Amino acid sequence: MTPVCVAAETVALLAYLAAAVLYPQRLIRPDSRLTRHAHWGLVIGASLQGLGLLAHLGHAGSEALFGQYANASFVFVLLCVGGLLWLEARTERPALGAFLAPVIFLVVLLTLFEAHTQAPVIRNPWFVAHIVLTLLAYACFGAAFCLAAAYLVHDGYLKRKRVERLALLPPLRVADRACHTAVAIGLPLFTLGLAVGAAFLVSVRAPIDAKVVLALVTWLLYAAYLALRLGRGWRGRRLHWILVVAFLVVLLNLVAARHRLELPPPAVAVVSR
Amino acid sequence: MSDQVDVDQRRMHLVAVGLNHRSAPVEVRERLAFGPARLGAALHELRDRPPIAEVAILSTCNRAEIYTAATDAGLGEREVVRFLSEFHELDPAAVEPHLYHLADDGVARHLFRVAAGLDSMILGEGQILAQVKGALQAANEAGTARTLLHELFQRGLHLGKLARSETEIHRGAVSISSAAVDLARTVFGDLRGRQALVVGAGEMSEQTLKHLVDQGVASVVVANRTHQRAVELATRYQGEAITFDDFPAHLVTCDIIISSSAAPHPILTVEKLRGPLAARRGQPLFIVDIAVPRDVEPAVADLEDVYLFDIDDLSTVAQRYRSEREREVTKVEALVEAETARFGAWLEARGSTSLVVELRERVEAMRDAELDRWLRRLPDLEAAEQEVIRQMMRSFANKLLHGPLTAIRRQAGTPRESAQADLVRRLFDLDGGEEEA
Repeated sequence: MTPVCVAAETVALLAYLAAAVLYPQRLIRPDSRLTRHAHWGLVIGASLQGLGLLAHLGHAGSEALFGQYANASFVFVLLCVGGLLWLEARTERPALGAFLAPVIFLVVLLTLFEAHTQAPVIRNPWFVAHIVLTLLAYACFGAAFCLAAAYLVHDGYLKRKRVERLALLPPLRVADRACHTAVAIGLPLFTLGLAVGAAFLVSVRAPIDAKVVLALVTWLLYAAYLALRLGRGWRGRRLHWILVVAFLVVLLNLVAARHRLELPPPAVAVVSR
Repeated sequence: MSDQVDVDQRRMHLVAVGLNHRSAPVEVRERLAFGPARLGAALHELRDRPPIAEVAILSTCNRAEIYTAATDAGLGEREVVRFLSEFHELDPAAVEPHLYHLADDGVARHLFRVAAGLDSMILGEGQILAQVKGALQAANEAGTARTLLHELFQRGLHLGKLARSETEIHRGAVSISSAAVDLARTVFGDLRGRQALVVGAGEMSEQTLKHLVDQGVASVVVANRTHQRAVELATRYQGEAITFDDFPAHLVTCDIIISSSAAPHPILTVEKLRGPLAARRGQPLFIVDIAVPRDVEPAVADLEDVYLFDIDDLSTVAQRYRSEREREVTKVEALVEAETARFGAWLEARGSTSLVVELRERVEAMRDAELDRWLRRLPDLEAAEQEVIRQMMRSFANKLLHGPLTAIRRQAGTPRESAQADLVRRLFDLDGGEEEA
C-alpha cells in the first residue's frame, strides 16, 4: 500500500469514528451544536476511503478491483451512507444515523484489519453478480435495521414520556412502513443474489460453509418478517426486533466473508474473460 | 394639488391607540371590537377626521387596535379616542383606562411584536399573522392605507414570517388538546385515514376531537352515557354515535382513543384490552385519558404497543413547549428591534424624499406658470423657438435646485435634518403662507 492510501484510509477511519460517536449523542443531547455535524463524519469518511481505494487501484492495477475484500466493504459502506443521508433528508429526522454510523465504523474497522489482502481472483460473472446483488440487498437491510432500531427507541421514548426527543426520530407508523419498503426491495435482491451464488457454488463444486448457512438464516429471518407482516398483519415492537436480529446476522455474515472461501484449487483458477 | 397630496407631503406621525387581552377584560374588548360588517365604515369615518390621513384597524378576539398616520400626533391620538367612544357609543371615561397610546417608533415596535406573536395570549401563535394581513387588506380595499401604513404593515408581515422561520417561537403544542394531537402524530405521522374513538362527550373531548379532525382523522366514533350527547357530538364531526356499552367492540379497529367520561372508576383496564390487543397484532394504540378521576387503568401503559397519556402528561408536554417558546423571546425581540430601527431609518429618509419632491414641484410649478405667462405675450414665436425657451427654463430651474437638493439629501438622517428642512420650507415658502396671487 502506498503512504497516500494509508493516510487517506486512516483519516477516513477517524472520520467514521467521529460520526459513530457523535450520531448517538444526537439522541442524548439534541441541542448540542457539535452533533448537528455528525453526518459530515460519514461524508468525509466515505470520500477519503474512496480516494484511498482509487490510489491503491492506481498503484496495484485493475487486478486489485476484483480481488480485495476492502472494495466490497467500501461499496457496502457507500450504499449505507448514501441511503442514510437520503433517509434523513426524506424523513427530516436527523438522528437515524445513531444506529447505522457505529455499524459503518465497525465494518470499516474490520476491513482495515485485512486491508488489501488478496482474496481469490474470481472473475466469474455469476460470482460478480452474486456480490453486487448481495451488497445491494445488505444496504436495504441496513436501512431497515436503522429504521427498526429507530422504531424501538422511539417506542421507548413514548413509553417513558421523553417527549422532547420524539422529534429526532420518525413517527412509529412512518418507520414501520419504511422498514417494510426496505425489506420488500432488499429480500428479492438477496434471494436473487443467493440463487446466483448457489449456481456458482454448484458450478465449482464448493462445499457449504458457515457463510452459506448464515446467508440462509438471514433469508429466513427477512422472509419471516414479510410473511408475518403481510400474511398475518403483524405490526409493532416484536416485528421490528426481527429486523434487528436479522441485521446482526448480516453483520456476522460480513465478518464471515473475511474468511476465504474454501474453494478447491481448480475453482480459484476459474477466470471468465 | 389635492388636499390629500398636501397632507402626504407634510411631516407624518404614526399614532396607534388600542386595547388587548392584557389591558382590558373580555367584556370591554367585545364592546370595542370592529366586526367585518362595520370595518369599512369605521375606516372611512376615521380617515375623514383631520389630522388623520391613513387608518388601519386590527380587530381580533384579543385586541382592537387602530393604527393611523397623522400630521399631528397629539391631535391624532385624541381624535382616535373620540372616534372609538363615538363609533361604539360608549362613555370615553369608561374606555380610556383600558387604552394604550403609542407614537412613531413605539407604533412600529408594537405592531412588529404583535405580528411576531410576542403580544399574543398564546406566545408565538400563528393566527395573528393572518389577522395582520387581513387588517392591511381591509385598509387597502377601503383606500385608507397609503404609503406609510402600507410600509409599516408589510414590514410587520415580513418580520412575523422571519420570526417563525428563524426562531422556534411557534414550535410545539401549548394547549392540552393540541399536545394530544402532537403526540398522536409522533405515533402515526400523518393522521389521515386514522380512526378515533371518543368515550365521553365533554368539552375537552370535543376540543381534542376538533384538532384530530382538522388533521384529517378519517372516522370518528362517539360513545357517551347520555346517548343524545354522543349523537350531537358525532353529528358535528360527521361521526358515528354508539351506546356507552358498545365502545369495547371498537377497541380492535380504532387507532386513537380519547377518554373523558365522568366514571368514578377506570372503564378501560388491562383485562378489557387484552383481547382487542391480541386481535390488533401490534398495531399501535394511542390513548389520551383526560378524565379526572382517570378512565384508564395506569397499568395499561405497560402493555406492548399501547401509548397512554393522561391529563398530567399532556399538561407537562404543553408546559414544556411554552417554556421552550419563552426561551425564544429574546431572539425575536432582537429581530423586532432591528426591524424597528430599519423602519425608523426608512421613515427619516422618506421625510427628506418628501421634501425633495415638494421643493422640486414648487419650483417647477413656478417655472411653468411664468413660462405660460411670458409665452402668451409672444404669440409670434415659432414652436421650435418656444421649445428652446422652455428647455432654457428647465435647465435654469434644475441648476438652481441642484445645490439645495444635494444638501437636503446629504443631511438626511443626521441631527441637523429637521432644522435644515424647516429652513428650506421657509426659504421657498413651501407651507404656502405667502402664496402668490
